[in-house]
Amino acid sequence: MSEHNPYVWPILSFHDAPVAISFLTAAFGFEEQAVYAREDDASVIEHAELGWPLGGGVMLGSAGKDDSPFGRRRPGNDSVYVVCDDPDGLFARATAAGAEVVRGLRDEDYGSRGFTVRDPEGGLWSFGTYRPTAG
Amino acid sequence: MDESTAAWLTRRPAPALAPLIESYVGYRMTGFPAGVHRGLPSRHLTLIVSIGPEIDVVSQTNPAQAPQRYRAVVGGLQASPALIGHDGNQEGVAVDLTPLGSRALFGMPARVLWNASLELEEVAGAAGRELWERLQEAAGWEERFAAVDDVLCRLLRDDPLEPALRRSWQLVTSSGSAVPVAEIARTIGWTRQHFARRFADEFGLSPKLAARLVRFDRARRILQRTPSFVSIAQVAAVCGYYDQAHLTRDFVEFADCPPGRLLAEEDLPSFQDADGGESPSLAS
Repeated sequence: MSEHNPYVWPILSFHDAPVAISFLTAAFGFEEQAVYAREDDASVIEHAELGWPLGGGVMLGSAGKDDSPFGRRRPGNDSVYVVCDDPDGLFARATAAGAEVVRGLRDEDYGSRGFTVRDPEGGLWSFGTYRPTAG
Repeated sequence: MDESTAAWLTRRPAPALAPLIESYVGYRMTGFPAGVHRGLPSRHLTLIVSIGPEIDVVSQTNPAQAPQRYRAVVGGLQASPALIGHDGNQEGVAVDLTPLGSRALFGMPARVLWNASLELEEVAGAAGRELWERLQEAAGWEERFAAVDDVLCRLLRDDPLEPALRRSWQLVTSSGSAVPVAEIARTIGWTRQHFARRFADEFGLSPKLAARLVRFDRARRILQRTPSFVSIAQVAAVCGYYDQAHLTRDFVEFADCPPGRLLAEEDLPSFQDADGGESPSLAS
């Protein structure tokens, strides 16, 4: 794994975190690095880390899992940008897995090619070849 | 000043050793303040071969055993911490052994090593001394891991663990939390009393204690590898403790230290938590 910007990790929440994990891995190619489910109720994910093959990743947990500021967040309002190398292949994979298209594949005039889709709970995921310069 | 470096490197053992050994961890720490490292109970027996300074166990898990310095130490399963004194510089190779490894490498049930720390030479004879010598001379980590593979493969003997006991260990250690011992006994096809006796004869501890140690080991690893916004109460729920207080009681019992303090005192990185991967800076 290379190390493009592995220092920023969004923390997301989902009503059905196990389904979200399946979706993010199947549709986009995130990789499960750690998934900690509550032992007496495996539908509640206390914490999970999904790595992105190019570096970095996202953290997530179940919405409503407790009264903490994290547990009280409402899912579906986040928007994440992810750098990818093969937007066409990824677009095909994501839509085949049922991701709702918000903006189809397109070339931006600044040279990036990418697309935006919605996850099952409403979060927006934008993928593109544009790489922000770190620092 | 403050030029402290810590680095580690994990390797899979040779295929013949893979059922017995989860991983090798090479570690090197330099320039830390002198201090005391807590050797914590885990789901493994450990073999640690020092390179350079010896391993200075200033307090044994068993208070009846005197403090001792080791070139290569074999530590059995344990339910309390050992304290290891160091001058801020430590280097060596750590090997996590499953209880199956105790028979296959040393020809003895894990029970014999329960709550004890022994010089490898006492357990493995001349091969123990050879391994230490070779690690002092080896040029670089690849050669060091190759020497560990070579010596341990030569120790391998045909002393298999009875399948029912092997299965018992798997069931007890994979069940995660308070095991319904009666249920595992039923799965194995033994009476509860027979199961408890045979388990303790082989591994040195009761199935119930083994399950608690495995849960503690898991909780400690998760706590050390999750961001601080994940609360101890959340980790308690993940590991099957009733609540945070229950987790804390087990930490005090097994680590002699509540979880918050245990995390805070990990100024010297523990190689016990180097699960896979490698730190960026371990040049050989």
